[in-house]
Amino acid sequence: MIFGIGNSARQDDGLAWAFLDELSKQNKFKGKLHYRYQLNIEDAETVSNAEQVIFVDAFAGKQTESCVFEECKLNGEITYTTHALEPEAIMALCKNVYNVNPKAYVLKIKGKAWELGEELSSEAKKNLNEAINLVSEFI
Amino acid sequence: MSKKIIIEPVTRVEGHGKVTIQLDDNGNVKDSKFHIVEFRGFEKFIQGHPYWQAPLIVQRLCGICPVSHHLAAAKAIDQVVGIDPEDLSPTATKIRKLMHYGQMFQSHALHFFYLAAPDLLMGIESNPALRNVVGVAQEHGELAKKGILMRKFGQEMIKATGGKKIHGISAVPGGVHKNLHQSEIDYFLNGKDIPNINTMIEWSLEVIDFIKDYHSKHAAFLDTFATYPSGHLAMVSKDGSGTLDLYDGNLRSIDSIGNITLNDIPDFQYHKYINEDVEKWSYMKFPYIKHLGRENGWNRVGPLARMNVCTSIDTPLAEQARKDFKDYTGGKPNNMTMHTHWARLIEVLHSAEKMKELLHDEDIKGNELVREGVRRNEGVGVIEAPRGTLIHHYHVNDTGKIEKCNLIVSTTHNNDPMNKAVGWVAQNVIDKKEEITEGMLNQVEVAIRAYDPCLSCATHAMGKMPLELSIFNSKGELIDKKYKS
Repeated sequence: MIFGIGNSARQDDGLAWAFLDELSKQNKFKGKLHYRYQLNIEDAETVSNAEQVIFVDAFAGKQTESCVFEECKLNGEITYTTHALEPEAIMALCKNVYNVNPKAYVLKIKGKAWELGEELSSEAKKNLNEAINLVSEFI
Repeated sequence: MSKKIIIEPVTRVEGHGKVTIQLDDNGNVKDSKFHIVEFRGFEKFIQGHPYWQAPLIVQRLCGICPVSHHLAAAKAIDQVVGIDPEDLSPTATKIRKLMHYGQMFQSHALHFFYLAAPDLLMGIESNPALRNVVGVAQEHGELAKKGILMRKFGQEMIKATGGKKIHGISAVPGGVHKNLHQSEIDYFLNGKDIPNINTMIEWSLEVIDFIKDYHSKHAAFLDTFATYPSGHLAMVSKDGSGTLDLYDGNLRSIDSIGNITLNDIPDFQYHKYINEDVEKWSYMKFPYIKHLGRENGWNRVGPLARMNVCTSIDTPLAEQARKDFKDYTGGKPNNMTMHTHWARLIEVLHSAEKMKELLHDEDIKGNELVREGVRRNEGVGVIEAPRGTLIHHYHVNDTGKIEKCNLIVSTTHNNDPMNKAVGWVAQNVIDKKEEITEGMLNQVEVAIRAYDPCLSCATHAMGKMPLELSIFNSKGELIDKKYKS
């Protein structure tokens, strides 16, 4: 099961959705793809049915690599400001409510442009290809 | 030296808000303000777009209550194509209502289980690292599971009726573009894939019992915390009976002791009775009833206001719950901010009952989806959104382009009430305290969260609202202040 988190109307914030689109196009991944603007509490129920989960998101910080694929650890000590939840909190909620703990990973793809617009920046497109290559064997 | 306390961002609300509390040399509260410091400007963005795009575009100002904006805009644009609410086909009206009650159900469930429950169940001064939904799930697993599935049920209803869970596409000028097929209806009735509508009603009743029990154990806190007299504004049915109507009706308001201040005015005449004021320190406007003036004319909106304004609910279980709620104050208006959570759960039950009623209505399978009338140049759509009365108003030119748009969203109505709530906490919790604890600051947020504000929705057109920038040095002293009008 793969969650793509983002907004395709905000340029590179649509990286995760583009990642899911690319997987659909390749038709190799046999699991479920979920498009999300943001994660919310009901996603804890969705992941409780998964064997493995990958959360894909665009990254706007100081990440030097084009993409990073790492384990998603549980984190119940969340601080949060809105209705949205982080993958770590979704996994903690899943464990607390459903008593299951699927293996989970986070794939962060570096973006550059975040204005209104549906086109990914050229750097984001390059990073997207690298992210696909990075995890294609895994999935 | 005087001291300024800043809480930024305010947590567990949608959008970016800031609270400032100004203390004098003796630690007394001099002033408090709830600032809205983010900006959206959809009233400006929409200008020049074809009218039919309004229900699709304006809902994108929010990812939490897009259904409410989708439907309020659609109701307004119906009028632009010559269709008043009573002229929509039964199928279109009922599909939209089903979408609306799904939204009300999921939004209120999310607020209670995710945003309010951590404060209520863990305690407002408990460890902040655990005072969240994950902590609630650890201590109250079954309650959390029901909350998750209630939210999911509402989201699935929105998807079935609106086409998508977020930013639906179903409501179009003069109607809807799809009905429901029997298989889609069965999904909500047979309980095979998700718990069915009867279970949703059962769980809604359980949650009301839960909050009543909680009230019985914490009355001193709930009855006094951030309590202050206010007016209350909501929509009621058009037949004059005062029945709660969340989808379409007339506007009614009462003062803090129950005198009617707006007497069932048609919603499209809102601008004759409601003004909006501005302040330098917030992007959000301050609506008030014109004849009462800025000082006295502000109102709460949302679940508490609706329970105060309406005189009945047209579903039996929620009506009984409303009567129990009214009994608590001997039938008088309830001005206790924390009772908003109780009122919200009554609306959860009402929404579930309405969804059941509509799921068994043959009209939702009907084929007459869209009606057309004679084009007009203006439309007003009003709806009771989860957070309160939501107003969309559009002026359209002869070529079909939107020339002017005014949105008064629920959180904007609650601007003065939220500031009053913050002021109450500042005066009653923080005043004269030598040490300001995290728990005290959380109490400011608890008062705001009772209104479930959506700050993203509540900001206005570019260039219309001033911006204030305060600069503090490392000692916390104000060294410069810039103001842009």
